[in-house]
Amino acid sequence: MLAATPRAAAAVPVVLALVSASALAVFFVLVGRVLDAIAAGDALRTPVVSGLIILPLVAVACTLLSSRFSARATSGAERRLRGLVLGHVFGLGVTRRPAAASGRLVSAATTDVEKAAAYRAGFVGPIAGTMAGPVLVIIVIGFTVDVVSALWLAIAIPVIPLVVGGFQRAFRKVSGSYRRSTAMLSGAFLEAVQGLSTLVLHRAEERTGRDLAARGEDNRRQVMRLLAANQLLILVVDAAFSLGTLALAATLAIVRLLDGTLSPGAAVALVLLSTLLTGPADIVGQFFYIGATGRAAERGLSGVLAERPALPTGRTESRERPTSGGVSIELDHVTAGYGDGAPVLRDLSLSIAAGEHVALVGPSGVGKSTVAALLSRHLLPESGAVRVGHLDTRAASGESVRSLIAVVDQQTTLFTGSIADNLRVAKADATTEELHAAVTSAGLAADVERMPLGLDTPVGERGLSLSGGQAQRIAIARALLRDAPVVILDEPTSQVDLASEAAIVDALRTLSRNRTVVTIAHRTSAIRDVDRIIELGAHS
Amino acid sequence: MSAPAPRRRDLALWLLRHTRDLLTPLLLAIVLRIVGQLVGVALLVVAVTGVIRSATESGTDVLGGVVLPTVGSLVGLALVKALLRYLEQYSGHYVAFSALASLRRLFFSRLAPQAPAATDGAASGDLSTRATRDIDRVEVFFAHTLPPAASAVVVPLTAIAWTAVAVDPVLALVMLPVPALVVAVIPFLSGRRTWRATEERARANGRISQHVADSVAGVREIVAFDHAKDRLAGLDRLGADAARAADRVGIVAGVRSALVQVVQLGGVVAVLLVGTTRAGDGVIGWPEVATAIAVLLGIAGPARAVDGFVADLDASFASAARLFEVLEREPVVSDAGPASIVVSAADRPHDVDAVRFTDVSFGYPGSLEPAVSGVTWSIPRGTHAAIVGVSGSGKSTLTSLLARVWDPQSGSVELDGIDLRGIPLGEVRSRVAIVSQRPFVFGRSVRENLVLGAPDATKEEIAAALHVATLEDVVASLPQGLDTPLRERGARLSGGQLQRLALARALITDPDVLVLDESTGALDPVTEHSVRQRLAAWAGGHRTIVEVTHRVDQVLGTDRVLVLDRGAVVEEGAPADLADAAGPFAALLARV
Repeated sequence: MLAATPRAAAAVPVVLALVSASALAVFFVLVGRVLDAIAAGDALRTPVVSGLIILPLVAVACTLLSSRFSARATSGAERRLRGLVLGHVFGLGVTRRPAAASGRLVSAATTDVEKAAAYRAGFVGPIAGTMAGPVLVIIVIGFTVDVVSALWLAIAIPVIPLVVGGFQRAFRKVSGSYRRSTAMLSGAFLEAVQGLSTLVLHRAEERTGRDLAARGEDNRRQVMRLLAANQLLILVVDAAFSLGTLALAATLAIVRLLDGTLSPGAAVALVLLSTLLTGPADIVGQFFYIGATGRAAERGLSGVLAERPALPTGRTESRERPTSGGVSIELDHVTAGYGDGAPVLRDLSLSIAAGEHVALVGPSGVGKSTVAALLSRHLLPESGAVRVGHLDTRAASGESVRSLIAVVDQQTTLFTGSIADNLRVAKADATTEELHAAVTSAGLAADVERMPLGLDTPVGERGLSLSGGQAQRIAIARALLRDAPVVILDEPTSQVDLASEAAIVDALRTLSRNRTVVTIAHRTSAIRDVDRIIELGAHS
Repeated sequence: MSAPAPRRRDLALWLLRHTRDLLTPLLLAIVLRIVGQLVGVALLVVAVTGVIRSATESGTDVLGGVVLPTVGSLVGLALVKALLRYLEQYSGHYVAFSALASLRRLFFSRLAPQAPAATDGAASGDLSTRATRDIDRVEVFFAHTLPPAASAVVVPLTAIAWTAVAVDPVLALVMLPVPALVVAVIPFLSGRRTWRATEERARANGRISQHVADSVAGVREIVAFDHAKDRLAGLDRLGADAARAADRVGIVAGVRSALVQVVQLGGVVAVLLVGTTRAGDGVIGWPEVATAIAVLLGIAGPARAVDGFVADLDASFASAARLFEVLEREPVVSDAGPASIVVSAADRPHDVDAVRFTDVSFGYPGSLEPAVSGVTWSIPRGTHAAIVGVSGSGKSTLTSLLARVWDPQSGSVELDGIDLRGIPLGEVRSRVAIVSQRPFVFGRSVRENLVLGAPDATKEEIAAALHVATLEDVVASLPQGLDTPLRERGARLSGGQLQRLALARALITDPDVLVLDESTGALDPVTEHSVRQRLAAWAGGHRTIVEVTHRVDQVLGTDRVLVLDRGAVVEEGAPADLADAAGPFAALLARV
């Protein structure tokens, strides 16, 4: 967390705020001098006039620099944190993750990152600056106006946050139930909107609408009652700051003027200077709100980053591989499972020769997909060994093993972007010619030709929606571009429309040529073109 | 389908029409704010006046005549100001919550007739955003943007007018440009550019969210193709775009607040310079200059509150337009009205099919390909029929047409021989009940969820529905039985239990046609078997069951099957015949 937010993010705004506060403080001192000069009938002296012009510019420059710096630091922290979270997700690899957990990852990488960055880089520094400003103003008062007044103010200023803090603690319970009530109010409404289809189909929309309005009204009354107590904090803060700064400064100014310590101009300046002490009053609310959400977001991020990958990294092996003919595969007395409960595979041995086409068949739950996970090194065997070509999956890295393998699953994920972007997932530097060749071999050429922008047609959530059959042919085209010696086909036609099936079977045949192929299926009737069928139920 | 984008004036009038009862508390909040801030200016002026009088009225009883009254007034004014601020905040919150209540009421009542067509599927996330972010945005405008803007104009003008009368008209004239620039000129500088940059930033953030969501969903592909580095680089590029847009927003905002500071401090210098000259001429003295500066400092805060007003205004109008677009949309199905006579199930003719699709074609708005085309099929009363096909083949679309969520673009859907468009919507939905794959469960009690469609259900009816759905034991095991609250989205129950709850919820309305849309997918085989047996007994040969599934082996026991592929009928008949026919049904069966 700290790595992503350099210390400068907090220090620079504080320094700028201090410079700005002292510039403004001296400016008001000079205003007092001018008033004295007017009273005495003196002409304005050049240093005073130039001070009056330069000091505001210094303060303004600090404001500008500070806001620029916070904005940059925030964006920078966002980028670093986001990369950290997503990189971590990739590092965790393919895990069995419930939908809710995926949603949490997405919100961690977006909302939590934004809040944490805003808090660390855009908030802590400026807040510290605003809090530190008054200290410098009091020092300026001590040196240029009156030490006694400065001391009195120095006593009063720390008392204010204490009063406010004590009051806040006293009302914490009220604030808590206030927040809960407003959250319930919006929660009930949002639920009714999200469940509106269900309500309408059950003819309950009018009843719910009435009920919602009635409950909303009750809730609103309660919220307003709570608010009446909760908002007393505002009254206290406002009164405390007015009394503790302005009223105190005015009293000191008058007293010290009457005993002859202060000139009239200096006394006025002291009153004006007290307006620089109220900065913290304006940010009390923000401090608690943004601070709390920012810290909560940081906790959320830490939780995500604490998850450790289940597999050791492994060694990176040379990427050399045979250009054609495939490589052999061997499972040697493999026992494997997912940690929770009994192993899915027990003492399974099988060997597949280079270039052989094999089908793994058996009812669901028998461990077919576990074999696929072992071969792709998403899973390591508990005992025994898995070898793909010359690589033992326990020794080699995931990248090395997977460079030998292309998988066509039941369904594929299309990323937001063009068809070409989606194909280049498999081969980042593929030329347009290579893309066209892959698309043709996958039986997708005619479809792509009909698309408005050809290969550049956007697809995914915000683009053209492809049919299941078309998406599967994209997956096949990806596998072709990957050009790996081993192909795993995990029920690749089980979800496609009947009309596309023949074209996909053809494309799979092209993909299978000169490669080692492992096809996974429920039953033998779906299997074509294989050299050997392995019934998995028989082994376990 | 969506209305043309309305003009701002129309939008403002539309909003005002729906928030009329807000105007009184809003006005109160504005007045309280103005008075409170004037008291704030008075505080400074009284303090400076106290200093001036202490310096000038020597000889008299200074302590009793000046010091005590000044300190007393300061304390009094400080307390009054705090009280006014409290009241202003309270009335502001009152406005906020009233506005929220009005807008939410409006949103719900306008959206309900458009549901489920407008609320299902991809639109639901967008609607939630409009229901929360856009309504909140409009609320913020009423409660927290309008009052500061009003006081930013009134407070400085009032204070300067007082200065002109009570202090010095020339100094007042020198002060006047300060609030004029701060309130009327600076906020409007490059407002368009800020707006464009803000929109650009929102788009960039949207692209980032999309990229992250894609990345998490596609981890398998990314890992399989060793694509992580490129993916992270892409994310960083999007982050750089967002940072650039944010930077532009920040620069404009920073320059604006810097200009405000320059103008306000420049005003102080100008008053000093002009004051010096006028004092040299003997027209005024230092007290007048000091008082004028106190006023200038006093109005600085109220005037500054207008910063960001233009951006807030733009954002509020954009949100209002998004609400308008949804709320003023015409419902896709219109109610035939209460005219038709409800015939009880027993009296309906037996020779007429319960459901009949005649050459039905339908495509979703915005989609190029039809979801179903030329579907003709009928389901006799009292039978158990099934619609099968892979996902995307149009199965669920047919059931949506059956519940009249949509009307077909051509062809007709009939219930007991009557076109759905001639039957009141309420009646259609009481006779056709749909149990969906992922039922929506409300965070209320089990009972409230059960009786959603039949609030007057008796104990026996509830028990009967629970029995058919094999839920009795589950409910009995809950800590408070039927009154156990289901937390958010029914988190307390398993997926299979939620599906059975949805089934019981449909059964309790006693429908003629029960549609099961992949609604037994999460059940274990034993439970599923007993649910099927009890459902058959419940149907009793006079209620019709339409089952939709991609698991073809589940429908071998049904009376008739329709096979859909890419929205068209490719086969129909009795499942046993189809299984032997080596056609599409057999092909689907082979995949299981």
